[in-house]
Amino acid sequence: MNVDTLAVVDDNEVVHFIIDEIVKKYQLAKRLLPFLDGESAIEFFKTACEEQEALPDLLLLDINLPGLDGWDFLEEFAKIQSNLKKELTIYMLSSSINEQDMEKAAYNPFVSGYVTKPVTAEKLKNLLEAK
Amino acid sequence: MEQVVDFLKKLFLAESWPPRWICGTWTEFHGWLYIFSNLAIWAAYFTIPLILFYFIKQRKHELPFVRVFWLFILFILACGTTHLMDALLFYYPAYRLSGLILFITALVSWGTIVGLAKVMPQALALKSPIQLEEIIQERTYELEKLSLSLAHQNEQLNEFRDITSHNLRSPVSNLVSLIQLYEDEKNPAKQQLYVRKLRSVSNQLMVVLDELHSVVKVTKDHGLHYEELQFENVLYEVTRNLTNQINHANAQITYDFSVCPSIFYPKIYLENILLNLLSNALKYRSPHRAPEIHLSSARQNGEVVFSCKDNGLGLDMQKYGDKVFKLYKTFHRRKDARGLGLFLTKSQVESMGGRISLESKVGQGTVFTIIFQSQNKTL
Repeated sequence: MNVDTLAVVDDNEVVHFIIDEIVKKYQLAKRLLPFLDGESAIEFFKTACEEQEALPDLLLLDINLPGLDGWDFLEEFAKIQSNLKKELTIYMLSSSINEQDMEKAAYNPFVSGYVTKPVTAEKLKNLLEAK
Repeated sequence: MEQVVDFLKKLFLAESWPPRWICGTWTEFHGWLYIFSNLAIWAAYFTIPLILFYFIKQRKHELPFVRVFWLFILFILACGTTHLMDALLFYYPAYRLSGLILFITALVSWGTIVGLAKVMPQALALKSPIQLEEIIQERTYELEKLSLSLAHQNEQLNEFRDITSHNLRSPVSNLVSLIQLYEDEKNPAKQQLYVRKLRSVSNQLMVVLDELHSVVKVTKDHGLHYEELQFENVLYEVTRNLTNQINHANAQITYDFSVCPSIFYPKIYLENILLNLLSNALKYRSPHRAPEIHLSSARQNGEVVFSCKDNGLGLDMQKYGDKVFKLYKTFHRRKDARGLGLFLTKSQVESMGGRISLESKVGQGTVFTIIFQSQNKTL
């Protein structure tokens, strides 16, 4: 298991359920950190930035979110990123197949890749085992 | 007949008459005045066709009634010749030739009259430059309108692409993932769990589809029925539908429609607009105080201005100001926040030519202002 903690920012609870099931079944990560919106994720990073143990290794970020959307999240994240005690890999995880979104992700320095839904065991394995 | 033959035979002869100079008594001045004027007219009448000819050549492909132009050229040439002849008669009294020339001129003149009379209806139908200008302006206006409407449709199409991408692909993706989980699972209890999830996701998908249907309906609604609506009556209807929510929130709704008590508008739209504004004000109420919602209407520059003010949660305008009316954008974490109400409200206001805007302060409340298009235009 390469990934200790996997964080997911997605407003859809079913997505959290699916990821949780896959991760448990294939033991892809020790711990899941679910966030239903961008604000609560940013809040978490602000308060937990010192605690290496609590911080995730990998973050799956949805684009279409209530309030701060995925892109807004990345902007906010850029401001606090240097305070983090642990390096974080971010993947976009979206149902959008718009090229604009994919391009935007490709140009963002904090984003390592773009994964389109549906979430499958295959995709998650590739992501988490490559880490 | 004999006379005609004789006439033609002797056409160029001048034997039967004295030259005009010696016929009667001419002073030098009178004679030369006569000769000079005739020659001057002849020269002018032969120059005019040259100018017309040049004009015809230059405008060859766009000139209407070219035949009439040619008739006119002939007519003027003939007239010119009669004047030349008139001058020549002072020395060369060929009165037969002169008579023939006059006859030809008469024919050509009447031919020109007929030609002109024939094209007159068409000539009158030609647009004057002022009329053309008006037509151009009218067409330009129509084109501008069309281009605006196309831009609007284009925007809607883009929006629709985003919707399919985010809001249809999202639940369908979940279905795909859940089915894969189901297939890879042997434990029947787990399988049962996945089926339950599948059911809830497919219900959710159904809701999205129904919503999209209502969105498309607004953008396509044309034959809407306008009627005189009393704001007070519509509000009464709407609050009746919201009785539970209003009581539950312990909300106080006040209104002042005294300045502008009614509006000419489609009833379903006005009801929907009020319903959305009120239910939003109730939904996003502050946890610290009972909701107070005030509705009012006024008249400004012939337009009806409607406003809905609440003391609810409010919204960070700097962050979300431009997204408030976007489809499926939500700003507070609530299960029942679908991001549909304000999109529909805006669509319904704008499809009738109106505008909607808001002012909001976090923790203080929100004011929505709708400017309905002036009633004369909607009639």
